[in-house]
Amino acid sequence: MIALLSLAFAGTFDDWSKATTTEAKLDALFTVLNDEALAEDHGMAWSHLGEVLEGEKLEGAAMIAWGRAFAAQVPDHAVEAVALADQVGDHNVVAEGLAELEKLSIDAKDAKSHVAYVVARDLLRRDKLGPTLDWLKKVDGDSPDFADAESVRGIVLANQGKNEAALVPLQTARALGVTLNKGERFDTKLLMNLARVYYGAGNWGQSIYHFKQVPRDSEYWAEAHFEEAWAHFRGADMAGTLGLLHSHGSPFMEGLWFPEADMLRAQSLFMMCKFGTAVEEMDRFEKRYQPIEESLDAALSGLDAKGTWAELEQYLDGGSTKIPGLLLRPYRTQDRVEEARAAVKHYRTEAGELSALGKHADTVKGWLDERADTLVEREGSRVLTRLKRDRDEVHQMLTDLELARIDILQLESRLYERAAATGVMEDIQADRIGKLRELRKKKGYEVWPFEGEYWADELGWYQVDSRSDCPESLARKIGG
Amino acid sequence: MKPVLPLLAAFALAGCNQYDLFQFTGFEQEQFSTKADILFVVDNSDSMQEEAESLATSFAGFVGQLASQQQDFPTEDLSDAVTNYAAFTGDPNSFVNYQLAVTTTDVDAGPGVLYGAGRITRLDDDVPGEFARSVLCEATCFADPPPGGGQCGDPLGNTVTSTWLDCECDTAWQGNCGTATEEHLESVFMTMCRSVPNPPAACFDEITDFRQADVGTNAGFLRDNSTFIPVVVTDEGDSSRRIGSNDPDPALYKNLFAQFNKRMVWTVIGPYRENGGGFPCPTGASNWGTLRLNYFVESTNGLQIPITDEANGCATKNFDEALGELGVLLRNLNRTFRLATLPEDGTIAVFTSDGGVIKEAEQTGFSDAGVPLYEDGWSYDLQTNTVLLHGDAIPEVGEDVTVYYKPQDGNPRSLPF
Amino acid sequence: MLTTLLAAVLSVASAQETLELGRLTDDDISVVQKTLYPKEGRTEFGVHLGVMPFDAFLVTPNLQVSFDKHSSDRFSIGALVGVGYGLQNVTSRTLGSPTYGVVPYAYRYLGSALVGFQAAPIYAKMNLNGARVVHFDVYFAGRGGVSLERSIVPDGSFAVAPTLSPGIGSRFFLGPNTALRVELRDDVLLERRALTDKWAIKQNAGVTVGITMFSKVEGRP
Repeated sequence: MIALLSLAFAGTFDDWSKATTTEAKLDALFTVLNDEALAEDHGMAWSHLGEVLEGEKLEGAAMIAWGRAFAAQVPDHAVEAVALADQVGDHNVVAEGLAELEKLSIDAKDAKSHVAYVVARDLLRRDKLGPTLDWLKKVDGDSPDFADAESVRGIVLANQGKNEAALVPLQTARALGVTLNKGERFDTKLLMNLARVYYGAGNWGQSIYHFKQVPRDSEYWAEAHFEEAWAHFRGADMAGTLGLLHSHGSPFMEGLWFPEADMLRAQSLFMMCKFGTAVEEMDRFEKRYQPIEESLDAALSGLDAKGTWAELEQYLDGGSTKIPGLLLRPYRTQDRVEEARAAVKHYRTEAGELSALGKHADTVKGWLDERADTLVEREGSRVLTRLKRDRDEVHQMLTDLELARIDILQLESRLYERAAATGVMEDIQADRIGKLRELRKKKGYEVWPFEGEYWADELGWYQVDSRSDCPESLARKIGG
Repeated sequence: MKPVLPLLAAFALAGCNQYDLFQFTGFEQEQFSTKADILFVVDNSDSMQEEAESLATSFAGFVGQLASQQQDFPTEDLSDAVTNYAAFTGDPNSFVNYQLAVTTTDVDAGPGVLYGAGRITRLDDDVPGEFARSVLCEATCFADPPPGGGQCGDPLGNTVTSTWLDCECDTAWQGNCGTATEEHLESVFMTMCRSVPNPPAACFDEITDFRQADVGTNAGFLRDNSTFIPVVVTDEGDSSRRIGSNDPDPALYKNLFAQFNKRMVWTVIGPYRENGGGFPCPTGASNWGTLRLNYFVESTNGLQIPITDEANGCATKNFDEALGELGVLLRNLNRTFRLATLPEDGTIAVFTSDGGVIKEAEQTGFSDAGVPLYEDGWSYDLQTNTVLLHGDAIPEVGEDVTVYYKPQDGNPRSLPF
Repeated sequence: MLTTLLAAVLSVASAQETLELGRLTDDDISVVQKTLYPKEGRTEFGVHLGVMPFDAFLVTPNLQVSFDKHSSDRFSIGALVGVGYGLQNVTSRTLGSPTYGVVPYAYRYLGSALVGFQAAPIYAKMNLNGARVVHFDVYFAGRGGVSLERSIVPDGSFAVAPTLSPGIGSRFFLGPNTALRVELRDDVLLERRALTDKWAIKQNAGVTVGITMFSKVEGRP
């Protein structure tokens, strides 16, 4: 017990300690909490309240009580609170309070590290990057949470624009993940983060190398493949970009939301002076995404956070939704959504099991409902914001299409005008326009022709062997 | 894909694996048949009364021995044939589809005539009685009429009485003494002549009394696919008329019998002559006449049963024992296998029913009758196209033997492909 | 302007013949796929059930066990050991009935031990209704060894026959370490037939279907 009790509370505490029933204990504690004059003792009262509720197996209510105790600078039960948060799936309810603590008085290294990691992760989710790094320092290097902590540290540094610095903790985390046998999913996440950090650092080669290592059966593979295409694009490898994005044009990817991939493909074609195909790609994009944009716009109209969460839950439960399913699909495997759903369900269930609290049941039910509503509001709002961003991006892409078409028309005209004037195509970049390279078969690889039909096992293995159609003058124009 | 074509062609050839087709006996129709046509050729000279009586009185036990292991299998229709087949395949050696007849060595009295009831089949009500009446009423010389005793209706028992003869034969049993020139071979030949619808020309030779009117008088006796078993009961050697006196070689009769294309297995209950020696129990039989009979026994893998019992002071053989041996022969006819077609040299293989190999027997010499003698095993007789089993190779009752061989000229029947 | 542009396009088209300016065609795209089912350096162990149905008188179910060492994705050496028993078919049984009393002097397969090579020049795949893509190879096999046969005429004579065995087969890869192997092979035997004292060529052509397991590749599941 850290805080000293006031004299007034000491009497009530005496009542509480002597009480034999839960209701009597709660009577004593609520008396303190309802007395503004005893505000300095509220923290301790919340802490005791948490103890009573935890004793009644009311994990959600206990977490709420301890969370308020932490906010009042009573650090007792931090370890128990975090353990309950792990169990329920809602760390924020305790982490916000813990983050306010001036001192974390936990002796056990691993327990302290875990609490620190949970607080840090919550701070990251709330975009509080500086405090996140401070809390990560509390994670001991030998604790089981160190790998996760290093991963979070890498993300924070990357978000701060310190890509070079972010590489070290991410690589450390990956190495520790292997040592601690944390599984393929952990490793894949780190691969993705490493690849993104390299991308942010402009190291396209390393970025591509790490994206390529994402396993084909991973939930992140399509994302990795797309982002790898960006790395190629930024590395001025248009053929490589097109080869990678060819998978995203297959029927197997139709259920995935990658409008940017289509635009990137059009852009790459444009860069290679494949104007005809680029225009077709644009037409295809417009045909596909115009209805989706309209549909999404209609679905989002008047939709609030709560409604968005309801839609998401309906989708995850296999029902039909107004929001196009391909936009909700990424949330199927998102940890945050999974944890929030579990926590909301827990709070709602627990709210119906408060009979042991007697006349205080309604009060505690109010906390639980409020907490569930908070989670729904928070996550629904997050999803809604993202959906609106998706809609706006598609809208912007569709608008930009018209400008791109005009650019293409002008460049295409210049290409042919030059050809008409000279009778031959101008000095062509590289070897000759459109000439196919001889396929050289690499050891350990099989080469198949692409004949317009997508085969499931070929996704991710496409290569475009076409060279740019741009004459040098146009290349300068496009490149400049 | 080009390399695949010759490979496919090779596979196509696999259906053309070349195999020699072997014929085998054992389940061949001829072997499947257990028909045995048994002709008792009884010497009705005056010295044979005791033996004939013994034959008749012992016969009930013999028939009982055959009947004990079989039921009556009618042969009227296909259904009966199936029943027979099932019975045969269940225990081929327990089933003998026999018929009997009795003739005498006295050819002059009636060449090849079947005495008494004529043809006695196993389906007749009283086979032992019929047989006894055939032997005693018409084929026995009662030089010394037996004493009386008993009354009409009494069973024959172990002793023949004049009362029984009078009751069963009236006066027919008297005056049946035949000539002292016993013609066993001629008698068998004449019986065969009377049994077939188209007898060979030799049947009508002037040397015999056989006439056109006699053709078919023994009809039904020699059945298709049956084994013809002459059982000679005599104390003399053969003195058939077509062979010169003192000539032990019966080849002439062998050729005559061959004209009927009939599988024959000879049994002689008669004088016993040791090869290279004399008669341990002389009965007065001539050396050459005995050798003629021995020839047929030996060459048909038949049965030689001494009519005298050397161990018993050369007394008359106990006919219970003699007929017992005959019974074994009848129930185990698969000691000779006539092949359906000529085999290629060296392709005959003989096996027991459990797959054991029976080796080819080495010839050890010739009997005094001129028949090759072999050690245990099988031998092939080109003249009769027959595989013969010798010694230990002769299967026990209940055992089976199969003979495989590669036919010289393809298969005797058209095959289903 | 339009006329000039068309003329230019036509002249370019003529000059470039089949090349298409400004377009990305299917010919520009190829699939360079990491070999999903590498064989190089791996050993393959298989159990196969087979039948030799082509003989006029015998049909022979058999069990084969194979072991192959792949020196490359295209070539391997291996051994194949089999046991079986030739059963007389309907034709043979008909001949052996009392009606015909004929038995072919055939030798029934009892076993074989062969060693040899496989050359797999063809690697391909097929799309099963879009639901699944199955990778397979096609190989040609050449093997040699001995076969043990026994006469169906019950003289008990065995024939230990030198054997050459060409074959063609295919592996359908079911997983990283598993394949369904179908093989058509023709064992050509030179055997001595005791009863007729002749040398004879016999062919045991048959089909086998089996499951084979590959040793694991380092770094792969």
